Amino acid sequence: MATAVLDFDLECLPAHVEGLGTHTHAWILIRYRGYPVGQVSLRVENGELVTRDLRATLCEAAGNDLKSRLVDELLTPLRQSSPRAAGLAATLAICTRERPGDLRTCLSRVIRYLPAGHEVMVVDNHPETDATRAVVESFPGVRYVVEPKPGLNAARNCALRHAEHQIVAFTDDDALPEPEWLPSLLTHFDDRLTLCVTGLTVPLELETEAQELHEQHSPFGRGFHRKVFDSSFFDPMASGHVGAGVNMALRKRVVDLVGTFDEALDVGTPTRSGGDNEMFARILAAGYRIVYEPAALSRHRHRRTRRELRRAFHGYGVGVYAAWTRSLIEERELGVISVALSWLLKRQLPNIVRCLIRPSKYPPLDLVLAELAGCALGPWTYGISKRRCRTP
Amino acid sequence: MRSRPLDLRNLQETLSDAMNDSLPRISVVIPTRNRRSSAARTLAALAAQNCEPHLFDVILVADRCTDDTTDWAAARSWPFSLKILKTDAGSAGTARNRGAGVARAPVLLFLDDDVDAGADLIRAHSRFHETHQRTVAVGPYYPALEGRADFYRMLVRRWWEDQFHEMSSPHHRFHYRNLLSGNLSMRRSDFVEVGGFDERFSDCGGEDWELGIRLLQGGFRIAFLAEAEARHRDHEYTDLDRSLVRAFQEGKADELISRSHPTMLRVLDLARLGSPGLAPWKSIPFLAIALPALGDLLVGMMRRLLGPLEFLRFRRPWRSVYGAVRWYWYWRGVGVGIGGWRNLTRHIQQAPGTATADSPGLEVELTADLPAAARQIDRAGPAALRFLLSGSEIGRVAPRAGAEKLRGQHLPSLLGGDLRRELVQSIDLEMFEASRSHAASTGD
Repeated sequence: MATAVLDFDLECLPAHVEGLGTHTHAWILIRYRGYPVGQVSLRVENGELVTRDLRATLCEAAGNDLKSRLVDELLTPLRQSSPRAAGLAATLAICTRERPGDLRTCLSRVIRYLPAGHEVMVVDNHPETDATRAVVESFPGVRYVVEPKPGLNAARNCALRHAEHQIVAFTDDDALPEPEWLPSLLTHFDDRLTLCVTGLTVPLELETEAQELHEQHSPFGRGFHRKVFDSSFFDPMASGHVGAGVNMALRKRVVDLVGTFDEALDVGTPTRSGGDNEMFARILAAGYRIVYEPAALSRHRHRRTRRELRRAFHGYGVGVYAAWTRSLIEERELGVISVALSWLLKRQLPNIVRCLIRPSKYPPLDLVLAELAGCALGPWTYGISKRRCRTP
Repeated sequence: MRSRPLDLRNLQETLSDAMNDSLPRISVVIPTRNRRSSAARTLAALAAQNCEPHLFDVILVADRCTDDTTDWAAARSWPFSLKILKTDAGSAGTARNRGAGVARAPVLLFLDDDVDAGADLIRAHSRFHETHQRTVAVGPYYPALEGRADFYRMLVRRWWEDQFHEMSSPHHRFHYRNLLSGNLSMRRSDFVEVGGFDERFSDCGGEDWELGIRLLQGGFRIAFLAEAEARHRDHEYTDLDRSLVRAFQEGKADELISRSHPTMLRVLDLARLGSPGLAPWKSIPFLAIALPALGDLLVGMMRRLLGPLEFLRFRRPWRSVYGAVRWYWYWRGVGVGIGGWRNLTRHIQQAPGTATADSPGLEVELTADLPAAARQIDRAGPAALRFLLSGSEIGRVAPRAGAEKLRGQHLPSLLGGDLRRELVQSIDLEMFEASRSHAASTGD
């Protein structure tokens, strides 16, 4: 039951879509003149898309996000760019550990599309072999930095320390940014209060059931319209809505203004995730802004097996609660209690029942329980991770 | 009279001086009162400018200073010419007028005593006035506060940053509230022509916004001078309680503005009393003006909630309570001059009507050639606009007191907010592509 991943632009739709092999569905990214405006999932039969009018179907699926884009296009002849937006240079940082194949694919992509004036840096986290170094050496001009302390957040902090430019854009080694990714992220740093910009991450492939479930129930994307997050109207403790660390850019100054990434959080530590969300929450709580920009598009290969997916859901639960524990203890953010209760009572617990009644619509029970189990362990795990960080 | 009578002998001397190249191009006027250490930092930043020191001189207006500001400043040597003026003005606006009165240079630069000029500030202001006529330049003075702070200071920082961010947009339509006097330059002749700061605002502030009204009415323009960057140490001198005093003063100032400039009433916060949908908030103005003793007691209690709410990090309740408390003190300020609740409602009802949404305006068809429409707006200078989408009206921009004339480059910002929502609802792909085809076929 594989899903084909397609990419259509409303300005130049194919007359007929066929050749989709044995796929039973197609997940379609909808663009207008290159700008992502929506997504839709359609059935595939005998290798062909089942739809009477593809254009009408895509327009309807994109809805107001397409219309909003049309308004932007309408006004484009009038727009002058703000002087502050021009001329920003970025360091593109890829934090990686012992995934040379993925890294090579990612580097091949970014090098092809990277505009002049920016740099690429690979942070090799707690390496066991020289495999990453060997890959980097085959890409002239790419910087290679080692971060011996295990953990994705330690690697991110290393990137922030070593970056040459004032903006540091992060992508994972199993993600493939699109050509407009970096320029789209940089646009929003003309506002001095914006410390972080996140982008839209869509699936690279949906070949397995686990990947389909991941995209259906825990996608990285946060929608198709630009959003500005500010604590004057948005609760910082709900930072999961802001974006994901697989696709983000930060001002290097975030370290001075808000602090470093907490190295007790995220992949490579007992807490397994949450490091990005916790930083987002801290940025917002300090009165700064985060912008979500769907034009900053990247593609991510989700976990392929159900076992990996269950581990991932468990890890999300651990990470979110670990991050909230940090916020509660170190920042006195009592609001996490209401956010956690709301999530538990309005989503997680009801999903246990819903997934039994309508299994096609809600996450499967094993994933729901894995996430809940992770949540229960989160606070304890944060304590363990924190102690390990302190131990030399 | 809004300022001292124009002294023609001084004017002739000034004009003659202006022709002498050795005289400064800019006179920097800094009002200060009992903030010696702050003024010292402002002066130190001026001593580090990337320009020849003789390009500018500095007039430090020590207004009712009882500390050692003047002695301290006089005892030091400065790379620029420093004149210390002791005044009994009693307000920053009047102090600025006094300083401007003794200035020699053809360009005035007003700087606050908690603003540290960036190294290129003087040069940027000087160059601007070499090429611009009848235009005042506002330079950004970004908050020096960084990182996490208390809720109030983060709120203020956001306000200042947003002000300058809006003003930096090439599509921004300037209005009277953009006339910020902490980093403001204009030709001395323009300052004299418009009459300087209105000294009736001496005990309530708001004199800069009032000056903004007169400048715009007089056909002057406001420009944002991004290169004239400065840092504002406002957070060192402000706190939540001072913000409530400021709200009180803003109420007084708005009431005075509404009497001096009756057409402004509809754009002031005063007018919100007459608008529908504000019912829960109307009790606050009534309390402030009709029952102030009771209001002070109740609002005092609400004020005390802010500390615990912040301690618990309850942001939304904190914002609501602070908003209500601030709103109350604004109306207390209004009440000082208005003379009672009946007078207030009568005053609002009798305000001269500015043109409403029914006013005819220049029609702009959004599916047609928008750059041409922008040029037409620049030529016609309409007071109002009517937007059409494929022949159907989707919204209007009404005449707005206290704002600069409509120009074509304002279109992108005018089509934001409620108008954008309407536009998004009304547009569709067929309509859009038809308009592009039409534009392509007519060679637009």
